[in-house]
Amino acid sequence: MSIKKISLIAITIIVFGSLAGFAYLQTSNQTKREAYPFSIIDDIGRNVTIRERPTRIVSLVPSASEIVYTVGAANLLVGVDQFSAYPDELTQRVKSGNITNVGSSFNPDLDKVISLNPSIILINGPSQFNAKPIQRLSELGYTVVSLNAQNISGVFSNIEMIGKITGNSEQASKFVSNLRERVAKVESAVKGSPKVRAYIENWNNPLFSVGPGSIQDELINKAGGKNIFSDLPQRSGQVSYEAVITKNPEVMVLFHRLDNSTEIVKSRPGWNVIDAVKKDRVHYISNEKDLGAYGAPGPRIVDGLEKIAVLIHPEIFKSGRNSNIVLLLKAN
Amino acid sequence: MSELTERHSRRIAGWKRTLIVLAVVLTLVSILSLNVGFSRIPFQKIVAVLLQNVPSINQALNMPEPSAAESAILLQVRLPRIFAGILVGAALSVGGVVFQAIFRNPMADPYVIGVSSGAAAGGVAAIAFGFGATILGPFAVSVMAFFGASLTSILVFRLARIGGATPAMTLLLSGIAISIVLSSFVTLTLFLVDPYNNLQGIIFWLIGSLASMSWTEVIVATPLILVPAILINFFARDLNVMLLGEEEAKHLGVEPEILRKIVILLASLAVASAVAISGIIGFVGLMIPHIVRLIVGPDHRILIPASIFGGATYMVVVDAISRVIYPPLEFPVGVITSLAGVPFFLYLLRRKKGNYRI
Repeated sequence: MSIKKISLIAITIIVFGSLAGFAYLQTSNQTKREAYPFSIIDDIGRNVTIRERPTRIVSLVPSASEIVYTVGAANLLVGVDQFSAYPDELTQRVKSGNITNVGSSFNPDLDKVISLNPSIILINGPSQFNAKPIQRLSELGYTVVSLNAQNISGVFSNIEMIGKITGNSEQASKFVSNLRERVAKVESAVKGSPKVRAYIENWNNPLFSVGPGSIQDELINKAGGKNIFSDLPQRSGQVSYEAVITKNPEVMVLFHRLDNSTEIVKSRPGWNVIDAVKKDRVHYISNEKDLGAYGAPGPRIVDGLEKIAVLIHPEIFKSGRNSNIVLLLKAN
Repeated sequence: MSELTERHSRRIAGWKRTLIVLAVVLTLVSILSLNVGFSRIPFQKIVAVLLQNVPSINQALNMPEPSAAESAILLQVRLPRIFAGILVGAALSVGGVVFQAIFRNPMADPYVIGVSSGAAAGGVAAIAFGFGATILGPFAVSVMAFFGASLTSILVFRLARIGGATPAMTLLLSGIAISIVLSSFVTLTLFLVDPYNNLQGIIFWLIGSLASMSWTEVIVATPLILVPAILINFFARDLNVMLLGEEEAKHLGVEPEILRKIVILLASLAVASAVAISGIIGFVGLMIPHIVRLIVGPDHRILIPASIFGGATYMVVVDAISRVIYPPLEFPVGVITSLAGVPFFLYLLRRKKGNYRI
């Protein structure tokens, strides 16, 4: 046996051995991170089996698309609904054709979704609009995960769930614990301060406000306020000018820009007697831009909490130069 | 002959009595409904607010002083709603009477020549395309709804014109055709708008409500509704004759073509103005004329004014109910209009079985 042959065999053994070892390490590493297959319970109580690490994700929920970015799985995204627009890079990728727009969240173009050959489909639910696409896509053998966060902890578990599904648990939980800290900071800062009566408006004609169980109600409470319509029998409903006058809010937060300016809101019949109007505390907040709660709340919900905290307790909080940062002033 | 004159004057006297009773009922209902709302305001304070310009009386009666919020609620919120209820109810029911007579069709309602779908298309366009951010401001939806309604009725009228005449049948059918087209436009807009943000508001505007009424809207709508509603009364006799048929009407000296044009124009103006401020409220325009007809009879000389009062009273009552039935929420007024009205209508219809006609 020539030295040449021996060395060739040796090299072969070393190369393959190290490859095998590397492969083993890789698998064991991945096993440590996520043991596919596993099953999860999605937000509408369906038991979904995740067979392997997804390679192609279609997201039909704006906030879910954002979460996919947050957990570091953006490169897996191949299709989104028409309202997914955050972060900016996502919009650019849709424009350049790198990500396909599959239409509305509620009535997606199923042909397009299927043609993308997704390994995971993230969809909004439960809703009478979505029951059919969920059922249809599941019947066709696609892995469909329904997301329906209604509050901050729901957003956190959505982030953790998508982290787990995409094999990025670690990044997801890091992100979530950072968010938790920011929430706790706001909560502890308002502790002991008087609750500020707040009116939330989602629509102007007729007036629509929110009740307990809505994300806005939760944000107001956490930011040291008290929703004047916390006695609403449902999450959202039509209220009257008169009820708002009677409940006399100290601050108004409008989640729409249907009126030209806050001046028009202040000049509504009889509203001149309301404290919030007298003290010029009528503010706009955008569901989409400020809360990231478009359709369903997403990772930016805590940014929204901080923004609302500034409106509710301006004596405690102040917006920093970087809009996401909240400076704590003296609490007394 | 003298017996006939006497019977006639007795009938006129009866009508006068009926109208006085209806006017008194409307006034009482309006004052009482001032007391109905989310906020419990004692009746003495209502009297005090109403008489605030005559302080001597208030002092003499020792009335309690209302708070700023209470007088804002009474004068700025409830009072314009009550006036709007009167206007909308009157416009819709007088519109119903006119169209039922013109088309000799008990199914005709004030929206029959496309006013509601025109208003819906205009209003929905204003919401969906953000006209609220223009110079029209908070009145964008009302203004667009008014133009949508008026333009649609003019268009329908022109389409129905055949060789200088506008037969009732073509008018009815072109109204239906245009309504279908406009409804598709509304559906298309609902499909195109952002379901997360705009959908619920548009749908609730389409259902109709008096909740967001301000004095500005009431003041603008008052002449636009009351003038045509009063003028229509002058054509009561002609409408009676029209019910005999067009040929017979011609023999009796009524020009169906001209009459139709004038009364449809007047009714459309009133209905378009009502829809502009309230959205589309169903039932009132279709059923109140029938209910009133069952009570006072089919003669338009009494039917028209009685329907004006009846529709106004009904709308004021129903709006008051919508304010308090499910607090703190506003109940959709259109639901109550039909839930409360249909059983009453059926009761009257069964009692009168056999001799009911338009």
